[in-house]
Amino acid sequence: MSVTRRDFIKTNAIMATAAAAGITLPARLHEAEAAAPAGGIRWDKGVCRFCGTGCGVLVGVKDGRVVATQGDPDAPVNKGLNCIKGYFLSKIMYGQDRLTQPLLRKKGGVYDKNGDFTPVSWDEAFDVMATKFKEALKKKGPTSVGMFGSGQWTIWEGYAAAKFMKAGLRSNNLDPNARHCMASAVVGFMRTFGIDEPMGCYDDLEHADAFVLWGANMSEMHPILWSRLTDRRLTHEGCQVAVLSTYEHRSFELADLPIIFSPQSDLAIVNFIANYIIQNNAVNQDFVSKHVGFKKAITDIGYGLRPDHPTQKAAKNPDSGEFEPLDFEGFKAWVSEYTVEKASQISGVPADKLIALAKIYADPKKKVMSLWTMGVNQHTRGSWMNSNIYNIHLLTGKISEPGNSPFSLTGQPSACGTAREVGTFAHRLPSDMVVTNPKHREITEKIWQLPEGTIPDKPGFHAVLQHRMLKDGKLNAYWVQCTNNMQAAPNMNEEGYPGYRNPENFIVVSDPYPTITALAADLILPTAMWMEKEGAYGNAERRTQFWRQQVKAPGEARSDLWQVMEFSKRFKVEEVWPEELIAKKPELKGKTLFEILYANGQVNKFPTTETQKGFENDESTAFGFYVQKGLFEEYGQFNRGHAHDLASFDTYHQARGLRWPVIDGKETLWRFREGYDPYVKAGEGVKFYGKPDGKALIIAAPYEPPAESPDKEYDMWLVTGRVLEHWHSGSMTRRVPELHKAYPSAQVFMHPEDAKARGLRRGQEVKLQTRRGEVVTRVETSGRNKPPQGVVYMPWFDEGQLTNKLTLDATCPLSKETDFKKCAVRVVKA
Amino acid sequence: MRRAPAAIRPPGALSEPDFLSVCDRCGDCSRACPEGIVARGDGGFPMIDFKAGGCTFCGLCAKACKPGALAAKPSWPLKASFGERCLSAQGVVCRVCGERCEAGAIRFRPMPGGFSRPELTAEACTGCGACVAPCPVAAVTVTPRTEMAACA
Amino acid sequence: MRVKKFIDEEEGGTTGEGNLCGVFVQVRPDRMEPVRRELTALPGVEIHHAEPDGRLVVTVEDTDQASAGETLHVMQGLAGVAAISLVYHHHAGVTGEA
Repeated sequence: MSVTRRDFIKTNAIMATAAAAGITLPARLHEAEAAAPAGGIRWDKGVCRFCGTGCGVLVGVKDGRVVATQGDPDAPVNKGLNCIKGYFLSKIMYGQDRLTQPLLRKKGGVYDKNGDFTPVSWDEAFDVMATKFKEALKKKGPTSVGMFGSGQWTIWEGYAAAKFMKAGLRSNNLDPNARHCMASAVVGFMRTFGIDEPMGCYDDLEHADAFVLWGANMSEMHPILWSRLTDRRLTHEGCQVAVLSTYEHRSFELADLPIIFSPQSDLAIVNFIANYIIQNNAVNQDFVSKHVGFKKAITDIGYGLRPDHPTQKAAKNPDSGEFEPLDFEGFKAWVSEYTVEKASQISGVPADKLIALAKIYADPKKKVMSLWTMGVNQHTRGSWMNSNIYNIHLLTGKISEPGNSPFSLTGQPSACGTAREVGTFAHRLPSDMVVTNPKHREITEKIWQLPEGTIPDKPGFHAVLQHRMLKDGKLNAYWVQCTNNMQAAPNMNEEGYPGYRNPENFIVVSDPYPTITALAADLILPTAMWMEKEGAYGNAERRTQFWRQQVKAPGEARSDLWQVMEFSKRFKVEEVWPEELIAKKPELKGKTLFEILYANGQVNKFPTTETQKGFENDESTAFGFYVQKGLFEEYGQFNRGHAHDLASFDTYHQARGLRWPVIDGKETLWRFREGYDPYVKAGEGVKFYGKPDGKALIIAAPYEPPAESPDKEYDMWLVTGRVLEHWHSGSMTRRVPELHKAYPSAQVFMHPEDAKARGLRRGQEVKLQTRRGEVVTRVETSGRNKPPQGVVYMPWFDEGQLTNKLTLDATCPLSKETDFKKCAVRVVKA
Repeated sequence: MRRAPAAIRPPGALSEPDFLSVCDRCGDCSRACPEGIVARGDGGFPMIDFKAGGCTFCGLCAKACKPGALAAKPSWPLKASFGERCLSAQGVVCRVCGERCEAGAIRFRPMPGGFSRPELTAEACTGCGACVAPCPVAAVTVTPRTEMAACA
Repeated sequence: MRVKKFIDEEEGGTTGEGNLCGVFVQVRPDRMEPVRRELTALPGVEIHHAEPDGRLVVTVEDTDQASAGETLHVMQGLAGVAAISLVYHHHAGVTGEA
């Protein structure tokens, strides 16, 4: 063991002991970590780059290179464990095709949409880019410029981008890839509780008596949380696990109650459970009468398709999120039609299994944790389905206490911390505020020191709409950061690709690697990633975690944060704001957006001398102030005192993350309950303070059919998703040789009988065809996923087999999140 | 300390001394292998290289062998084993070997602590070696059963 | 409890060298100074922080003279030490909040 490693462990010992003793230590103690050894490996704490679990990792640096990572034994999330992706983290930055300089499509020495990618300087790149953005603004106004960001952005990157787009360019056309992933969860939280993100936390995994997985394959997608759940199941007597899915997957290995339901029918199952609870007198009457209100959702709301799509035209109340009044008796009557017979008939699940599932929720002695991710969120009724799960927890009062926990898992490392909390959605502002609310705009403009009316009052284009608007030529200057959306977004053939290549548009993509998205762009900007910058992520249990810059990025690669801030220097306020607006604050005259947004006396308040000695901080060096701290502390004004309280910037560099609200240095494990949540006063017991009346809503929302179902021509369901070894589009994991070798290319998982009926054998090449496109892949009839007859499953990580050429861009009409789990496909011999 | 393991010959190989005297090192078996796992070993004699993939026991190598060095009734006493480097022994969720096992001989049973390690059902293991190449840390070996030390 | 278990194991020879313990020590405030002096004199003990109310953050490591377990045992017996809690223990790759 190197001396440094020992010092590091000692620091951990001191930190842990001090925390247990309730002592806050001065910062200098932490500096022991920074002392770089001669010849040894310097270890520091970090956060995994991949999923929303937010595992802590130790990052080992030698000679300016990350040479090793390991699960952080002191990280409360993973306690030293790792998944195979996390184990090989140190290699994600060192793929052979790392981008190291800006690349612009050029012909004859000048920009040409049909030219070849040519290396250019940052200056030239930003010159051309600024010209294109200004042209669009001048011609069609702020709605013609846009940005697509990421739940993988660090907190300050998202915050800086939100300021740049919503205030600087005055366009709400900013949306994150979290739209594809978490938007339905957000709408569910806001409709039911009026405040975003789970009330419980991962500690529930050690307290529950039963776990119900609603369409989540945690074994592969959240392996570390799954290991905690597995441990609970095997060591806690009587513990039960129910796994619901449209196909059999690895999580079924642990299932006491395995349930395969037909796609979309989860809506019927969850309503049956609510009915069963009521019919069997399992309602927690006291809880419901004190803490719950009732509403009925407006129905027949369409499928988020283009307005001229026949399925969309058929909807009576397209996109309506309105409610009708309701009370308990009304809900009881409404839900009574969901008998076990009806639920069984819609879902194809035997009645006895449905009853067994309902009994788990109805048993007052059983603490239940419900877990879900993409199965529920990527759903044309995803917002409803999220709320429907809350319904059964609210009816039984099984919520906001250890082990009783409806828990929405996340897919991206900072879907919560950045996309949601910072508010990088087209309709959102920081801390759950929205652009359509004048009061919220006023609060935001005040903190940002901007004249009233700077932020536009209409929601911008959401993810799916951005691609449609690019194709239609209404969105013309477009910047994508930190995501591979050409590969990730639905219906690539009909929307995404034609949108990027529309001659009217200028597309910029910032990425560390030449992804499919980057290659479809006009300008590629090389990005510094992960440990090449100081960062912060917020995971699924409201835990905010920081890391320091450990190494320098290769070549001229620069972080997304530097890119946004540096680019903002190219705009004089007169070029982007109308005269009337500037007249409200004449002192802004002649200033650049950089000066207005970042050198505003708040963000540039902290000197570079406050950065940690022994570590680089390239952004702070470039701009001359502690950029990350300034942005974070300004952002803190939004959440402190508003039930989203984050601790001070410096605290996070010491802690292994803290779960907000953090009050007086103490994190909050269970929200809305007295004794756990400081926002609930003594004597209040439970208070859902996100709602004005302190009551959560039970929302009656029915089963409605999916947007597209199998028919004679396209006779099977296509479900898409991930695999353990690769994360999302594989832009990082496919560049790690070990992971590539472990799972080299995508396959289509198929029932052996379905294969036989089509004359296919295992390993054979096949074509998957939908109304939108065709993909060639190979058949897998055994292995980890076992779909029932009539269903096929295909992961989308493989850029050689672009699964999203097949998918339909139908969304939940409320959340605008795509349903990647359901469309009609046929499989034929290639 | 430990002898280097003897080269694994293609299925149907005569006993080692006979094989060495009959085989004329023509390379036909190697060219015939659709999986590309018959490599040139020491002295130019063919050997199975599981790092290149698994054996499907198709018999094409034996069919291609003119001198009859692969003419024996195939006996294949090989079984997989998992070394100390195995990621799942180090608190890492990895199940790559099990994934590649068509015979279903490698199991990962849920275990307290949340971690499962590969367990081999020796009777089911065909010794095909498909689990060797994909292992990210080269912890899987396929050896004659007698030499095998099972991963605890 | 944890301290007891650790000392027992240590004396039973099940742990060995390379131990590093993070220990939370509570001292009667009026005995703070003498206890601090005595602790500092013990092999492998470092005091990292002391609160006036008697809370100490201490690390204890194995040394040639004494194992961490033995040292903890001695610490328990010091006059004025009200309680000792083993919060963190690291030993040859086995690390965690105890």
